[in-house]
Parts: sequence; C-alpha cells; structure tokens
Amino acid sequence: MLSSEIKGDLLVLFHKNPGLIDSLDGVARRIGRVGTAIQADVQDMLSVHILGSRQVGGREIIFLDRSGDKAAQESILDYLKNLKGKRE
Amino acid sequence: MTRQKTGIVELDAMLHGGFLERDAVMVAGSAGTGKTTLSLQHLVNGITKFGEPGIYLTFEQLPDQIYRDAENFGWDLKKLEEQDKFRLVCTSPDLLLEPDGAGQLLDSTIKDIQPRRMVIDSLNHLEMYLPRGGDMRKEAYRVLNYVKTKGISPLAIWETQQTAGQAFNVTEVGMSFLVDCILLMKFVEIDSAMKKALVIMKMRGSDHDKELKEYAITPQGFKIQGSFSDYEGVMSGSPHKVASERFVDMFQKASEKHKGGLSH
Repeated sequence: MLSSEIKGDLLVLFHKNPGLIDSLDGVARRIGRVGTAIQADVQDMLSVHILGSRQVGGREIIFLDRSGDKAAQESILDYLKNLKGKRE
Repeated sequence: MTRQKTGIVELDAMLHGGFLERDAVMVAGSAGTGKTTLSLQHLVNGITKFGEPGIYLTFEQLPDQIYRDAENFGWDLKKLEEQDKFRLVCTSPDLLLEPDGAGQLLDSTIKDIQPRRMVIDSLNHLEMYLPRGGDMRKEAYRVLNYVKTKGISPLAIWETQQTAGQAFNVTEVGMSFLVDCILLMKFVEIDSAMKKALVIMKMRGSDHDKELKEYAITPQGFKIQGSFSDYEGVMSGSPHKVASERFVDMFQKASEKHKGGLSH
C-alpha cells in the first residue's frame, strides 16, 4: 500500500482530516504538490477503496471512504497478526 | 416559536431563549474575536446538551487544527464523530459554488448524521472564490437556503476588517438582509485595555437584548461577563464614561486629594 511517499502523505492527510472533500488539485495543494503529481497514487487508493470519488460540476472530488479505509486497516491488522503467528 | 439554544446561558438570555429554529445566523467580527470558538461551542452544546447533531463546514483551516483547538476547551470532536453526532467537513469554496455543489458535497453527510445545526466558516471564503461578475448575495442565499431546506439551522461566519475603532456597518456586508440574526463581535479599547464586546444587531421576528456586552474566551469557552453600562460610544470606537460616572470619578479623586492634604 505505502509504495510511494505520496501515498503516505495522502494517508496521513486523510486520517488527520477525515472530513476533507476536495478536488484533485485541492488535495494536492494541501500536501504541497500539484494534481498531476498525485493522480496515479490517488487512482491506486481509489481502486482499493481507501479513497472515494464523485463528480461535482464536471470535476472529480476525492474523500476518505470511511468504511473502505476501516476494512483496509482491519485486513492489514489481520495480515500482521498472521505473519506474527507464522513466525512464532 | 421553537428556540434553538446555544447552551451559553447569558447569550441565550440575550436572545430571549435562543435563536429561532432554522433562522440563518451571521456571526460577524474581526480576526481574533472568537467567532470560531462561539460557533463550535454552539455546535458542541447542541449535541451534548440538546441532542442536536451538527456539521462544521470549513474552507480555511484543516480539520486537524480545529480538532486540536477544540480539545483545548475540552471538546472531543473526534469522539462526537465516532458517535455519528458531528462531522467536520473541509472543502474548497469553489466546489460549493458549483451547481448542486452543496448537495454533492453534503448530502451523504446529512443523511449519515441527520444534523440540526451547521456552521459555515466562512462566507468570506465563498466571496473570494466567486467567479468574476458573480453575485455573492445570490450565492450565499443559495447555500443558506440549501441548508435550511434540509431542516438545518445555518450559522455563517463573516470576518470583518476593522480591529479596533470605527463602528461596524452591517450594510458593508451587503448580505444583512439574507440572514435573520446578526451577532457582532468586536474589540474595544477601554481604559487603555483591549476588551471584547458582543451585540445582537438584528433578530428578525423576535425581541432581543440590545445592550453591548463584554465577553471573554475562557478555558471553558465563550463567557459573557457583563455590560458596558458605564460607557458611551463603545460601538463608535471612542468610548467614554457616561456623565454620572465621570462625576463619581471626579468626586473620588477630589476626595482622595483632600484626604491626602489633611494627612500632611
């Protein structure tokens, strides 16, 4: 999941600000970048349902998919638990 | 008439029981007067004292700053979010100005928590992002009406320019007719100290306290402390003691001088 620094920045931004709903450019500005630089990472996070999107006035807006994010966190936790179990 | 209490006892008394339900309220004041604190307290009290969920819509500050500032007053906004009684929504004003922007941005949140109160922080940001030739009053009217039609009472923040001195002219906003109630917060200089004053400038359809009150932002939040009854001209920016108070001062000073003279 954290295959890039941008994904890490986005994850921190949305976890600290779960009520953030903004355009690609708006989100990018909030982490000191431009829209084109974060586009690919946003797409990855949309595909695993950590982020959600919808259209407003012809523009795509991005927000934290609270249920998708919770599910992702749970599966990461399960994975880590299993990993620990296997090692023991 | 159903009243919506702020939960700040002295302010509710000034409002003769609270804001009228679904009235659009404007909290106007310059930077540092405590508009955000008052608005947040109105929302938090709505949830914790009156069972009315609320949304804080911000364009300026990132939510993590608001969570932190609220925590300083003992308000755990994250916990209220977990309980689905509160949402802090942060977005860009230009998205809200899109046709059906308000609906696209807020409908799901409104469905989730069924709010009764909403703070919009601030109308100045909407104005900043208005396209050239756009009419701010029309846009503000549209946004406030969207909120009202959802059964939510909107409270909009408006940051005024003046820091001290000069009376606030409500028509400067040009939107005073759009809102039903205006609370003005401002700094006043009295006896070489900066104090904070609040007045209800307008409350459509209801009587209200017309007196100017001193207030402070305490560790518990917004607190009204009393009136400026000994002073005149506070709103004009050049307050002076009323004649009777001046006479009392003069008499006391003369009396002290006389006592000092006798003691020598």
